[in-house]
Amino acid sequence: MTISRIIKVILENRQAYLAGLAVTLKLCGVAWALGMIGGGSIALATEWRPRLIGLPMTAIGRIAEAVPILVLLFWLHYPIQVMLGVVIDPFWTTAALLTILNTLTVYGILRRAIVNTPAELVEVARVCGVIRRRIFWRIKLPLALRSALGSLTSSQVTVLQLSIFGSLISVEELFRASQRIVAQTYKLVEVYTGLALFFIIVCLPLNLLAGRLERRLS
Amino acid sequence: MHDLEAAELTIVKGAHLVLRDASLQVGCGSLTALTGPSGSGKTSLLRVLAFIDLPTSGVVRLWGKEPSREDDPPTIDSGPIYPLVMYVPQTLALWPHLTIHDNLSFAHNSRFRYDSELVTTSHDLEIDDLLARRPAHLSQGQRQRAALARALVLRPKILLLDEVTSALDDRLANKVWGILREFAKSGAAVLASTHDSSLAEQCDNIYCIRDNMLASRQLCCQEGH
Repeated sequence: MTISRIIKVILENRQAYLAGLAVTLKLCGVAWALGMIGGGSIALATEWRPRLIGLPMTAIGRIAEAVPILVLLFWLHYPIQVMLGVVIDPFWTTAALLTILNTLTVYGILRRAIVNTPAELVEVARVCGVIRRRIFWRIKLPLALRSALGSLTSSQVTVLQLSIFGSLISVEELFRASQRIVAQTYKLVEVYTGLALFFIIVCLPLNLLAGRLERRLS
Repeated sequence: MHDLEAAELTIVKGAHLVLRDASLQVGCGSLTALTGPSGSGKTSLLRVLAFIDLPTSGVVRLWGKEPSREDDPPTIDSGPIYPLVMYVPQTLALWPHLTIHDNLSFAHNSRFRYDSELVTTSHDLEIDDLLARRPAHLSQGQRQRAALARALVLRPKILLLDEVTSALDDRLANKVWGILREFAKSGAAVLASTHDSSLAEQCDNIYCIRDNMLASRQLCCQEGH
């Protein structure tokens, strides 16, 4: 196996790869956008309603952490749709799951960062006569975002990696596209190595960036 | 009536007695020093006087009245005590994501970028060329002066300072002490903790903490502090 053979296989099947990549990016785009907006909004709202919003969110997060993603995916795809009497496109089932998980992750990261704002920085703002709302928007939130940026970046990379689970319920994303190419060409080594290289090329720099952000901004 | 008065304060942290039956008075126009060995309870006392922490027992009065703790922050005569009471912690707590100028102007809630008081204070404390920098890019001594400037621009009536000159050389430490004296004379009550006996001797009064007890100047002198 050489890199040139991997590239040859990718080029020969580029339409299929690009189609799969498009679905992956669409899946991730939905989860990234809605997860960041949803998780961020709920994290902000929890500052003003810690019991009403914070307690249920923590409980849901704990439950989601306890259940493997595959189980969650199949539960959303089969039992829940039967119970509701609906049929939902597997793409949207996967997108919904990734969005829920991303929302919970973003919420958890931001809340931890907000709560872990050094108490003395908030105290001194109080003693300076600054009102609570202003302390939150000008002190706590900016500091929390700085310290959370690295973790948030890593978590979005994880969304990309989790998207391949959609293949198990027939979502035509990148992994499923690779499986189809293997079924046609029998070139398992080249196809799956190429897929691994794709994730390395995309995810590794982002994870390195996340680490750097965490070290610089925390 | 003193601006700041503490009566029979006892401070216990966990199972550890920090201070017992401490009483002190700091009057308007006076600069008072608070001394004591490391770990003697100076910071704990200052935090209680600043109404950040609660004493185990005892009372703290401002201008003869006990502030109400029902609200947050505590209030006196229906108004918040902050920033009439101002506390500069030993850790300084400069906001790291803001420049020094923004640290000062954020606390001051200044509408104008070049507020004259901010400019004057930063010039007096020799930090006017540091205003564009962030705290991480300053030395400890520069950060101390910046934290002090942030407190002074608010013109508090009661100023509590925790070791704000520990990283300054003699010239700057004496200059800062002179600024604090002038600030006190302008109508404030200033209580500053320090390890420097030469600075403490310049004050109108000295309190020292030893063996969990707070003693005034005479007793401090008798015991050789």
